Amino acid sequence: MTVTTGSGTPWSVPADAATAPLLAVRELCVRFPRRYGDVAVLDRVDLTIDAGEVVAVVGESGCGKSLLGLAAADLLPRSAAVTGTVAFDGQDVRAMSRRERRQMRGAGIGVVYQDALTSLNPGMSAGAQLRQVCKLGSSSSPEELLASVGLEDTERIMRARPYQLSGGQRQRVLIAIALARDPQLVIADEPTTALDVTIQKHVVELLRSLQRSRNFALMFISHDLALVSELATRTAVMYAGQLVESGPTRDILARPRHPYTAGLLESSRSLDECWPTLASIPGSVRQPADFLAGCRFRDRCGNATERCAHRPVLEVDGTAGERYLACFHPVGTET
Amino acid sequence: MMHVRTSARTGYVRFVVRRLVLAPLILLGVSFTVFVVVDLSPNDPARAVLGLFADAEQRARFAAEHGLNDPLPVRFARFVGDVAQFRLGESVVRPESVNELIGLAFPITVQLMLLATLIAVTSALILGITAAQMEGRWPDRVIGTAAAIFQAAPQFWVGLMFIQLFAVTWGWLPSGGYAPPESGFTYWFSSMIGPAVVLALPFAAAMTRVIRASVADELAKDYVRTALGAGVPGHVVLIRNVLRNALVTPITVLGVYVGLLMSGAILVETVFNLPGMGTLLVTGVQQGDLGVVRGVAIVGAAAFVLINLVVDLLYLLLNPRSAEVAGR
Ligand SMILES: Nc1ncnc2c1ncn2[C@@H]1O[C@H](COP(=O)(O)OP(=O)(O)O)[C@@H](O)[C@H]1O
Ligand code: SF4
Ligand SMILES: [Mg+2]
Repeated sequence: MTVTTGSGTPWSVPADAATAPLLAVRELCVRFPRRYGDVAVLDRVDLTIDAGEVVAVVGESGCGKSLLGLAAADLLPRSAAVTGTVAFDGQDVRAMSRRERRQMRGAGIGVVYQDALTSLNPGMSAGAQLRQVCKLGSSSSPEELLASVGLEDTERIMRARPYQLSGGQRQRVLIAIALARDPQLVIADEPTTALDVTIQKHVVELLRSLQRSRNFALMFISHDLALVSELATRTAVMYAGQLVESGPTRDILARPRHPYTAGLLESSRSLDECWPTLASIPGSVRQPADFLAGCRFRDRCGNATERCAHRPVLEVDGTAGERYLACFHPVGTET
Repeated sequence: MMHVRTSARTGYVRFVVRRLVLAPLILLGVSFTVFVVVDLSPNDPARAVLGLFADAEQRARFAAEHGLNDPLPVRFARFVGDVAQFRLGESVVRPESVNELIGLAFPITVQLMLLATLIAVTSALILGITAAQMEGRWPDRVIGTAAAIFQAAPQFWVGLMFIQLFAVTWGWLPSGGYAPPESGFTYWFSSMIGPAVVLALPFAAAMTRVIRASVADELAKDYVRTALGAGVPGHVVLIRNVLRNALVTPITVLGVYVGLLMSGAILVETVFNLPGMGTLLVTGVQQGDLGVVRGVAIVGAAAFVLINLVVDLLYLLLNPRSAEVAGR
């Protein structure tokens, strides 16, 4: 993964310069003109993912993670106004023909949605939904897919309606559907949020082992920084629709630079008590209508100064390799 | 899991049994109401048959012969017994029995309602789904406005306008009357299409709005995105994934409109001079022909209950989850 500034500096080319990244999001802005007018709910987001790479996107609820995931597969609702480009395998997803788009969706990008219950059709059996996708071209049968996501008793699950399954089973069915057409990239949008803790672990392990065996690239979206450390080689942190920090996961966890990342990390370490809000950062993410100009984190930030009324640009953080940061007064620097 | 399936099935059975038991009870209640209302009406069947100048003695003899002086429960029991054997009695005005009169009128009304339902459901499906897919854009707004107008327009007036336009001004269709199918499809069709369209209009308008709302709701659901996001083509998603869920509500509402369709048929048959059940009822009332009024009311109620039963079962078939709830 490579990240660039929002202001047109060329994004750093991956080591193998001949191949374009699998997914390249550049200057992506998403607005909902009806609801929020001209506010960029996603604001100049840049993100690339290489083939086979695991990247985490982290941030509190309402930071635009799901929108980013949906934009990657061109699945945003019709009410969204999009600028910037999203290229999959070198092709602009919004300029694709119908056939190309149908191929990109499913066979190029598989999505595991956040809410498994609503993301499955209540009127169709799990098997019918899986079969429908497999028919479009798959290396495995529906039964094999269900077995590969750790579901036993596949015959019963095939016949069951979603409401007859447990939360964990539903999430696995959804993963099976996402993997059915052997995608090159899987976008997993908080696939464990709705599940209880032990099952969360199983699902994360499942995703990791599937990623290794099938070798797809994975965009793992989560609000839990501790969770991604087990999975992702790289991590991008989002706040209020903007990318604020990114880099190798291990680096970021060891030495967070952005005050928001530092706060996330702290609260994630004390998350055993499962506080719904971040104990170490006061307040919560604002609604898009109330996004601040300049640094959107400024009302919750301990380091904020007058400078922060301007928008900090995401750029290479000079103090460490491959790290990008959008902050005037990062953690761990004397000013 | 296993027990979920069985409980769904027993729920289903229990629901069906309950409806099957309830249906005759409802009919009995309706019969009683019809019987009492007609009985209390100021119409004197003796006078209706014997004429205004019959003397008291003649009328008393008539009453005794027809058991009109028996206590009400006895008369009601006799009535129910007759009805149960499909003997609806004699018309006191016309030479035919009520059975014969209904035998002639019933098929006409059935044809009218079937044709109207076919027209209404087809057009509502096409327009409703189109509007839902174009939500917020001009076709949606045009369809919505037209539906609102036709739903509110009085059917009587629409019928007269229709006759004025198609029969009088353009001369494309007959202004009324009935041509049986034996007289040839074209004659039959041109005698039926006018009343059927007029009967269908408010029904189609209402169904269009219900279907539009329901399909638009359904299209906005997450599972649609799941299917599209997996590369399933849009029209397949609409037909295979969305419609089965989206049509559950419209089918339930169908039951409500059956009643409206029936009362609409009375009006439309009168306007188009179609000799169906509605016309039979209206003339029966005008002539004080109690046997005919009762017969039509009973047959109409039975049809209504039966159609609703079918609609309920259809709904259950589409939405098995409701069986579990309903069966409890
Ligand atoms: N369809 C939509 N219409 C209007 N606003 C939306 C829509 N979807 C998401 N948003 C807004 O965009 C912001 C980001 O949402 P989302 O991407 O779901 O955040 P996250 O996944 O990080 O919790 C939220 O403030 C949400 O209210
Ligand atoms: S730019 Fe300013 S307000 Fe924003 S995170 Fe950095 S220090 Fe805090
Ligand atoms: Mg989300």
